Amino acid sequence: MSPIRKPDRRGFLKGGLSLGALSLLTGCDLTDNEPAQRLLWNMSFWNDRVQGWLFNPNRLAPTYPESAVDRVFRYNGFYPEEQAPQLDPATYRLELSGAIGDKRPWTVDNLYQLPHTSQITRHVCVEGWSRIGKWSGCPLRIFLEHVEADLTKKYVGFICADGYYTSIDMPTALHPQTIMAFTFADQILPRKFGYPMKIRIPTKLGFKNPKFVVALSVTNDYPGGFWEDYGYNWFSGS
Amino acid sequence: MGAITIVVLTALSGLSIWKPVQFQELTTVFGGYDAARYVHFFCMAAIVLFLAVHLTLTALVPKVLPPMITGRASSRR
Repeated sequence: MSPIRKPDRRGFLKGGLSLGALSLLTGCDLTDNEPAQRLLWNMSFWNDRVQGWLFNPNRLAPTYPESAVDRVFRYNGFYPEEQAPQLDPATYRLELSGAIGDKRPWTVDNLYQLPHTSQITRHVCVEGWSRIGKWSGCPLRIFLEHVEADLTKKYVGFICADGYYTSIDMPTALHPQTIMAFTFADQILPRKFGYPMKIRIPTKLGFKNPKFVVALSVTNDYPGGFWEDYGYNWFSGS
Repeated sequence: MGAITIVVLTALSGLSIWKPVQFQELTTVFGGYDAARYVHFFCMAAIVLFLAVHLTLTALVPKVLPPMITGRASSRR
């Protein structure tokens, strides 16, 4: 299951930069140039800071009526739908690590007994499509408080059963619409959308909404992410 | 004038699809997220078209380029 390298914006930007450089310094490839790489990464980190500053923790993502929900929701991933992991509720455990007081693992039953809230929000993909869907589950803030996580740490990281991983900033983790989703369209979360649990964040782009989450950590060490480590912007907030 | 309007519209529609939560009022002005995407796309296309036409015209009549940069009309006709 090797990830297929998709064309992305940063690649396009680098391509554009080297194209411009070509006219000035013929024969010099800017994309492998260390200072150019550093410049692009630093621009992206600066972008993260601006977005963190723009993020208002009390500002809610727009919500929609049931009639606005897209009937056919799009599957997305770095592999075809048939290869999505099939997790067994008998053996599934959500492992906790980092700055968390109570690190006991969680079973599906334990998770599904947490308080639920539902939302109808727009999922915006970095690829240029969006869909409105309905999710319900436990606000991540309630869960983090319940397991006595240190809410002053900078990052919450997630690891998924399919090898995917990502991380978010603490203010977003504590946002009221950031939830551990257990249902989609009023049904138990289907396999292709991340059974038994996905993190639904309507204030972030789609790739910051991990599916099949099997481990959660609270940390000050930047955990990065699957696409983020290829150069996707880390904050990617809406 | 038209070109300036297009550039402003491109920037505003860009902001409204970059931050449809933080700048949701702006997104609403464009008629929602999907409409803002269309505005952004067609304004970007208009800028590309504007550039293509003007570069072609300059390429056809290259002698107009130096005065555009220096701001002086050429002394000899």
